[in-house]
Amino acid sequence: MRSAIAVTVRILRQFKHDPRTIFMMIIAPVLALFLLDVIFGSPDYEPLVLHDGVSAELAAALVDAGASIEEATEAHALAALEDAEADAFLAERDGTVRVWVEGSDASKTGAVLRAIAQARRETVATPEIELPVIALPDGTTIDLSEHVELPSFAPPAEPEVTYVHGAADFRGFDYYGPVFIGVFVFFYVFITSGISFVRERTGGTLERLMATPIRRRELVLGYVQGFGLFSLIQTFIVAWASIYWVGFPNLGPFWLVLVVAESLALISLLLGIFVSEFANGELQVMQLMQIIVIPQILLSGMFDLSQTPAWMQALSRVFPLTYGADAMRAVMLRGADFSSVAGDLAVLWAFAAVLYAANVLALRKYRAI
Amino acid sequence: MPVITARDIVQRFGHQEVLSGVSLDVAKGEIIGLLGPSGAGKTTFVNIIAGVTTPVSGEVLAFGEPMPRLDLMRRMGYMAQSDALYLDLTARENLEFFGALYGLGGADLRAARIRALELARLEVEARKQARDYSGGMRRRLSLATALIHDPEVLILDEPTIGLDPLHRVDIWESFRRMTALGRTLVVTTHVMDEAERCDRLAMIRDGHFIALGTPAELKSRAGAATLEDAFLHYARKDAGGTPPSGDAEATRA
Repeated sequence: MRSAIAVTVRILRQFKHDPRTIFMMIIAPVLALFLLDVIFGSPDYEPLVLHDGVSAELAAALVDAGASIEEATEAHALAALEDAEADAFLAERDGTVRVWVEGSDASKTGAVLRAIAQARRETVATPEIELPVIALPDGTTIDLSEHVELPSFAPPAEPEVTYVHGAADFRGFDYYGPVFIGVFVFFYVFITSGISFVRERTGGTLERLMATPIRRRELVLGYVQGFGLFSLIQTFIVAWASIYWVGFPNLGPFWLVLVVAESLALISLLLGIFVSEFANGELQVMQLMQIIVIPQILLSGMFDLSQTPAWMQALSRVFPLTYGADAMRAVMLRGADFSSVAGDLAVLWAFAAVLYAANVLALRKYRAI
Repeated sequence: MPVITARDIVQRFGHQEVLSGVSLDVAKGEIIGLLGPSGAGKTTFVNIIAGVTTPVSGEVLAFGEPMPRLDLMRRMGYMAQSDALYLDLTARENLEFFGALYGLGGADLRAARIRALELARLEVEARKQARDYSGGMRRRLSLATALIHDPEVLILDEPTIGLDPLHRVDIWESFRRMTALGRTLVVTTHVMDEAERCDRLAMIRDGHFIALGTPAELKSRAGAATLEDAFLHYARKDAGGTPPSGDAEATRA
């Protein structure tokens, strides 16, 4: 295994001489995470509701529901909606409430309709009925409220919610954070290892290596060790920045997040090497990446697949990234321990073993023994 | 016993026959040159001897054992036609890497590295990245990586291409010192002046040998003053002796 160590040392030395690549490998994911942080750390969208003729209570309730309001005439409001400068127009005519919405962005439409519905519930549902005290001619008084049970118009008390997983302060995006960590690691490691190995081929050094007594499996192992070590640093930085800087919630142990992410990195680098054994240049690695990596990312669980056709769900099950995303979620959102993600990890390591063997076999193309 | 024996080597890439039944014995301590134009099959032939490529048919024995085998390859050195170097590594690091692949380590590796750098006349620039080397320096470093483990057989594909004449003479002198120590060299070239320096020459054209012998023998048998003329003589004879089918009439006439 001395040759494998020689390859590892060589790869690490190449990194040392190429600070730009190191810089890029660390800066690129951190930059992407920073952008995510700014996007998802921003306050919730505040819809702009134009109104005409609505009661002061309803207007106040709209503000409570998180909307900003402005009075406008119907003609002015409809023009504003036409230009997408406001989200809704609310008008009350003879006791009937009419709503116009801008409508092109479903999430904004949802937000504005929720705010209006909430405001209406609050104002409509809280009438107070005072029962008068009746004074009889004989001077006695009857307090009807002592005899009549008044129906309650108060909104039902909020139910008590218990979170089996997660917490009340989870943001909608938090469900996808763990998947993002896995996807970033997978994507960036694939690019670096794929391009590095394709250079080995196009530069003629692979042919040269095949004239030395190195075994094919030692070469692959050397690559796995070299890039594995480097991806460990990268994985650590991505996971650390996601959790402690961007603030993705993590209920599980940090080391287990690293184990899952590094398993993904391992698969990604083996896949990168494998792909580059069939690519004729760096450009082709990028092209093959579009076929091999992008579908995996789309089907990894980043989007909910539970309602998609069966073939798509089956397809997602042959992609390693799916198991990685699953395990990342289990650890970070449900606080899973090692034994509960052991199944996912076993699948990932099986993928890695198969890819390792496939790489050793594929190198036969360059030397039969 | 020859150090290297090649018997009836046939190699095809697709439908094109690159080598058509080539045989050669290489004796211990000699420098054997493969002389021929580019595309003649020189590189394919040395790749097969080095164990990198497996021929369609025929066999190669190295040290009396059938190739390819990793333990036999350990006793051989190989210099490719292109400078297969890691350009982002320094000369030292390149040498240490290839040395380690041949099982050298610690003090042995250090000594071997210093010796190889000296032979390639790169001692002063050892800490420079290969990227910053000139073409000739890269060629010399490539040679140094091929002989860092002091192999018994050294296979060199166009070793002195792009070198300045002083370095070329210098390197041939070191080749001679190596053969004096019992090392064997297989060198491809298309430079006649270099071919003169070989102990024996195999002239190769269109995938087969057209002549084999010492440079002096080849010249006198052809009645030629230079190797270039001798090569032309054998090439014409070869084309006449085994004419392509369409030309059969013309040759007889």
